[in-house]
Amino acid sequence: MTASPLSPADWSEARSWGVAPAAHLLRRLQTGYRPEELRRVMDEGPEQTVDRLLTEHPEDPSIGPAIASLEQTALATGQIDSLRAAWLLGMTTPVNPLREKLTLMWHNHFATSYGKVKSLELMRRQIDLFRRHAWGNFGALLHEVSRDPAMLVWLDGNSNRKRHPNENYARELMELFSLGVGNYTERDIQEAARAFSGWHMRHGDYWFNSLQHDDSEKTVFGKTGRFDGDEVVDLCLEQDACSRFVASRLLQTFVHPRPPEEWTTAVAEDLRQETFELRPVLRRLFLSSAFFSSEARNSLIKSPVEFVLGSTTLLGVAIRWPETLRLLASLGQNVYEPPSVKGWEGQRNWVTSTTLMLRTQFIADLVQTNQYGVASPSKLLESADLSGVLAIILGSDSPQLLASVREQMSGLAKPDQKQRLTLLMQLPEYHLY
Amino acid sequence: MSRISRRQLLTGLGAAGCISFSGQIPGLWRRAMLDAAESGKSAERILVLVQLAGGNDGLNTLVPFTNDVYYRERPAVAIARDRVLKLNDRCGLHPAMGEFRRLYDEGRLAIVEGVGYPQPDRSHFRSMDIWQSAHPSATDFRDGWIGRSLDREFQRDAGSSESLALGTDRTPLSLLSQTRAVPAIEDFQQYRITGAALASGSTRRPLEKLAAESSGTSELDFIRRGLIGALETADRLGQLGDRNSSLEAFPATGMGRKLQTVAGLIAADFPARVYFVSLDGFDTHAQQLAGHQALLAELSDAVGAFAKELDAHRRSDQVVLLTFSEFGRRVAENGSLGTDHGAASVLFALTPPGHGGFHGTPPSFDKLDDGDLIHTVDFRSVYATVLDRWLGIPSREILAGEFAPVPFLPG
Amino acid sequence: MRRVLRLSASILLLVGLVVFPALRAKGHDAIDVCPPGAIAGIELRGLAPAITALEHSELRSAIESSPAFRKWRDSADGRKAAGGVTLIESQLEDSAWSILRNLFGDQVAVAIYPPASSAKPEGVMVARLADAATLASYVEKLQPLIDLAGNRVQRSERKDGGVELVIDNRMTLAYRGCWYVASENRGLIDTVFSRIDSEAELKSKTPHRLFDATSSAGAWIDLAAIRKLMGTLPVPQKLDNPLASLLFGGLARSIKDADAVSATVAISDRQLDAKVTVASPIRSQEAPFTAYLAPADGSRNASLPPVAGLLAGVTVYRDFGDWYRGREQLVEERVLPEFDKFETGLSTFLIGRDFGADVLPLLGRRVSLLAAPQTFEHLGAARPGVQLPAFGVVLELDHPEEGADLIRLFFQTLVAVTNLEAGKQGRQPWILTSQVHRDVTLSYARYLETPSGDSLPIVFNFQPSSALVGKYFVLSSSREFCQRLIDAVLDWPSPKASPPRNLSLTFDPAVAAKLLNDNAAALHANNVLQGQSIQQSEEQLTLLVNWLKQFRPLDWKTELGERGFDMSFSLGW
Repeated sequence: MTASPLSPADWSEARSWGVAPAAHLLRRLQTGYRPEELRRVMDEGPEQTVDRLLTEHPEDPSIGPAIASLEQTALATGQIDSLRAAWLLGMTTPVNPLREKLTLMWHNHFATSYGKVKSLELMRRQIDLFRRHAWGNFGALLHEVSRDPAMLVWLDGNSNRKRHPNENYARELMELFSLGVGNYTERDIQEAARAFSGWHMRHGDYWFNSLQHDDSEKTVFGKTGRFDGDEVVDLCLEQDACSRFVASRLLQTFVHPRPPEEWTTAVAEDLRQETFELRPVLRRLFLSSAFFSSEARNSLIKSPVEFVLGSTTLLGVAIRWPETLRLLASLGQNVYEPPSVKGWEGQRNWVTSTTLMLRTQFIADLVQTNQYGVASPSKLLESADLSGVLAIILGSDSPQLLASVREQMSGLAKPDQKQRLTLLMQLPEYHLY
Repeated sequence: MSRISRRQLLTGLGAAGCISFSGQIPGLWRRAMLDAAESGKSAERILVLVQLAGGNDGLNTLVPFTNDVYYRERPAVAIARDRVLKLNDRCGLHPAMGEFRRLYDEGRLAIVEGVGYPQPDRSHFRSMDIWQSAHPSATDFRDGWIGRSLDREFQRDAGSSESLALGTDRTPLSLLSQTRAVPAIEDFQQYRITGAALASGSTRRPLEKLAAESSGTSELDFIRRGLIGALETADRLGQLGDRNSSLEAFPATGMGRKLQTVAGLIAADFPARVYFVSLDGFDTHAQQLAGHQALLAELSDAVGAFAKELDAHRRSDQVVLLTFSEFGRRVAENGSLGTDHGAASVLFALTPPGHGGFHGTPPSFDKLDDGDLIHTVDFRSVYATVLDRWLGIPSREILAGEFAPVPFLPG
Repeated sequence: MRRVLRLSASILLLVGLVVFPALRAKGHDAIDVCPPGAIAGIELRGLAPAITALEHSELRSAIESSPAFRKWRDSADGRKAAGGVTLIESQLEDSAWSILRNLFGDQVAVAIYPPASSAKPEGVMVARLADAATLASYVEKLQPLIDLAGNRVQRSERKDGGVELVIDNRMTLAYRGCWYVASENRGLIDTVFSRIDSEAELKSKTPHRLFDATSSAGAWIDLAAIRKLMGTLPVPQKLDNPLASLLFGGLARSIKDADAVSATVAISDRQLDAKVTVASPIRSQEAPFTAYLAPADGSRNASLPPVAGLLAGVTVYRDFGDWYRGREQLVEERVLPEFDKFETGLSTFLIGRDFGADVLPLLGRRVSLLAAPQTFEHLGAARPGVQLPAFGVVLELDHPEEGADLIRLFFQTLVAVTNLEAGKQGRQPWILTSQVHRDVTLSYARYLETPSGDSLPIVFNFQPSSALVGKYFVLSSSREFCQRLIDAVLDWPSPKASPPRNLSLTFDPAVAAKLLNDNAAALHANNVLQGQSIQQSEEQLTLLVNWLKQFRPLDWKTELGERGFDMSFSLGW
């Protein structure tokens, strides 16, 4: 019998905790980081870091007003890009980076698009909901999402009427939000849809329209009762498939694109034990042997947000948002407008020859011009030697990689610091984390 | 992959002294180099979609010059009989479309008449969504017929089946996929890599070596292969895609520039299977004659140059270009020297040589639907032909049904 | 910029060269010793107090702390200029302000003459100092710098006792007593000195010089002479922008026929008044140019309605019908299609009416456009996220009842169309309603519900309102402002027998500053989007606001005077 994948990683060996695992932890838990943060994580060690990142800290007083002014202006002028900038600005602020990363995960999980909702106010409230529940209870989140106004618009809540049930929400609840394909029947969807009938939106808020609610008996997952929407959500949460589905989401976001079966089983079990309280589950996961395993390292492909904002944060760039948002859209990740209710498939789907070209060109422009904003790289990065830069940027202390980069470096005519940075950030390895 | 990359070959030829003093490769030499380079060209079949946005007036594009109803209903905006470029004893092209006429004579212009769909919608937006999604009954358009097709084809390696919209800042619905981002590029310059440390051979060689050696399936191998492919494409575009590097002269119009770019990308083996370009302004409600003439000339001249450029690169067998528009226009003119939104219309395809000619059934002028032509060919039949016969993607699944092919492409 | 700096630095240097002691008391004015026959002239007189005032003003500190100035100061050019100033200051042992005051504080004149032999017109600059001894001491102290210049500067004695320096074999600078004169034409310099020595009373001959006792600076150009030289003046006959044509078409036309343009500026320590006169036979112009002119008797006038606290306001007096019908003569041909587009667009809101035939004849000749901060009384405690000022239009109608009906139709269609759009986008619709204000019926649109929050969409700035007040139709984006406009129209004094006025404009920088402050969030958002931190943005805004607050309202008027167009401009601080 092998040890559980969730058993804590073992750091008892001397020098086993070092730059590589620290960078791995940081890159997985934050959208981007400054070189100083890597130093801090190395000093703090894994437990203290994870506990710090899983704690809500008061907002940065120098960023809060900037975000507030962006949001206010977005709502006033209807410019979604200001709202995008507000969120992404928060994501790059080192105060609650993990909370924001989880918020983006839920935005992807419950993918709702401004393209149909057409209300900045409702979209912002939905993101706030994800933020509040970032590492809260998944069950509570699922209940609240079911009556979230943006979701009601997105999946046609108002057309779900007693005599004309609309299955849109019930279907996505099961297929994409809680269970996954193959864990429900068409009949379950039809019955569940009736339970959500009359869950409407009015004046921008959830409203239970009792006249349009079908109060009769339904049979869902073999259980029969005069269920309402909340009871259907509870029935979904009771399914084993639900914990596995959520476990897959967590693993695919933080650990591995195709997690081994036993990892999913272990996390699903943990979720049930904790009755879907995410914080303790995430804590165990982030400290686990699976999380730090060699399979897991560098197995994820950076999303455009991670690639672009990770790079700007690394170099301390004061971001010019219009250019940056345009690039993110070209790279395929326009937050607030996921391509469909499935969200971004991500991983290898981020990669096409066009996006690789755009990513490569972005690095050159970022390091060598002010197109995306003025950089002020930290002293740590400026003064580091090649192996130091490699450690900061790629989180690697591998001698082979160092040797290979040295060889490539020898091809540069004038290998100044900017050229070195450009080369390193254009390497295939930099697309992974 | 042991063959010499075309980039290396071209560089090698350049180093061997083919470059003139001016730094320009003389045309003759360049052609020879291209011939050499293209001996190993990709055999991938390519589709270029040309959207004529606004609803092209099919009746003034392919003019039924013997039809009395046409001249009776359009006293002011009809194309005079003696000006029509006659293709047969029934109809001919608008006089501005000399290049289309040439392509027709060469057997490369397929003309499909009477294309439309049941219960035609006369709203620009909805009808365009219907054409692009190929879902006439949908209420919520989430993906396009090309997007769905290529999703299905998406394979392990990056770049095996991509599509690209040019000259637009939004991905058109046709290409939209529910799973992948489809790039829309406003400017060809975005396909250059400048200031890249990885641009030169010496910095890239170790990476190329690693990519060539790795047949692995890890994410790193995947990115390595994709990145090498992207960099090579950028190189080739850098060499082939300069403003003056086209072998043929393209008109200096919007459509001319877009098709010039497409031709350059194709010549550079850019790994897109479908290109999308759009020409706007076909919503000719008023003072139609001059404006429509300019649009048709822009289209015809650009496509003519595009065909010549494909010939020069020996790519003609590899490319099909298909025009479409959300609807045609009413048979009768309106009161402001224009025409209003109609239904069935004509579409054109630039095909490999030998497949041109007339297809479909001319719509009837005797039996109109509220003043509009009734379609004789469902547009999904055209799509089915392209999917099944050209791209090799089973159309049934994509179009959610069986549609009889229109034989303008080899079976 | 760099060239200007280099030039001014060398002028300072050269000016400082004058060593000669005062030979005689100053007598003539600088402008009068310029040789006759000039086609253009500039003069500055008695600027010393203004320079002193500027030196100690808050305006100066505001300018120096402005972001643009600081950016320039930190640039290479800025540092070079600062270095030059420091060099001069240490060499002359005097502050830059004091040097400036001494050299330019008394009298300076520049005159331009038609080209004699060379193709270029020739000029001469004459300056008179209040105190010859200062000039002498400056030049003495600058001698080391002149020595450094080597043979680029050649010094010689003049027969009349002065000294002259030839710089780079081109420019000649001569000085004697409290005078220094510069020109590339030595003949001009000789003439100037002989006039300085003249015992007779000299008087500037040009009729175009309007300089008077209050003026600090003046300039004039003899257009008739230039026209004779050039054949025609390069003034566009037709403008390529309809709005520019409506506002400035008359001015452009008058310059074409003008004899001269003259300007004077009076600067006190708190106020700047500028006057420009275009001497032109305007009254003899024919249609459509008469569209720009107010009646000669001054009976109807482009005065501003009396509204307090305006951000900005403009009243123009135009014959809109004549202007519109004469557009083919007044604007470039390529913009004519814009008029057709305008008519097509307008026909959406004026169903079945033709603009030229049905609308224009109803309009009067006086239109005022006004903007002022609004109170947002229609929103209760709520506020839009971007707070726009209230806008208003006061339109004179020749046929008030018919005209008002058309405008009401326009207004109601606008509300209906907007409501349809609002419905599609889930916004609040408007409901048309009315109230009576000082016996005037005021129609306005209100929102179905009063929303809450301080980030409401921009559309909540608007509460379209309209009223017919006598022969004036009042339209406003705010009911409360509409009421104020009704008051203003009712209390509008009938024009006194003043010169006929074509245009009045006012702008209050202090009100603009307040609006900027109210919209701080939007400005910050814009700066943050461009990569600034909120701290940088706040600092910038504070500076800008403080700068604007230094100014009192700016006024601009265009009137028909005896000679032609008179434009006057005043700005206080």
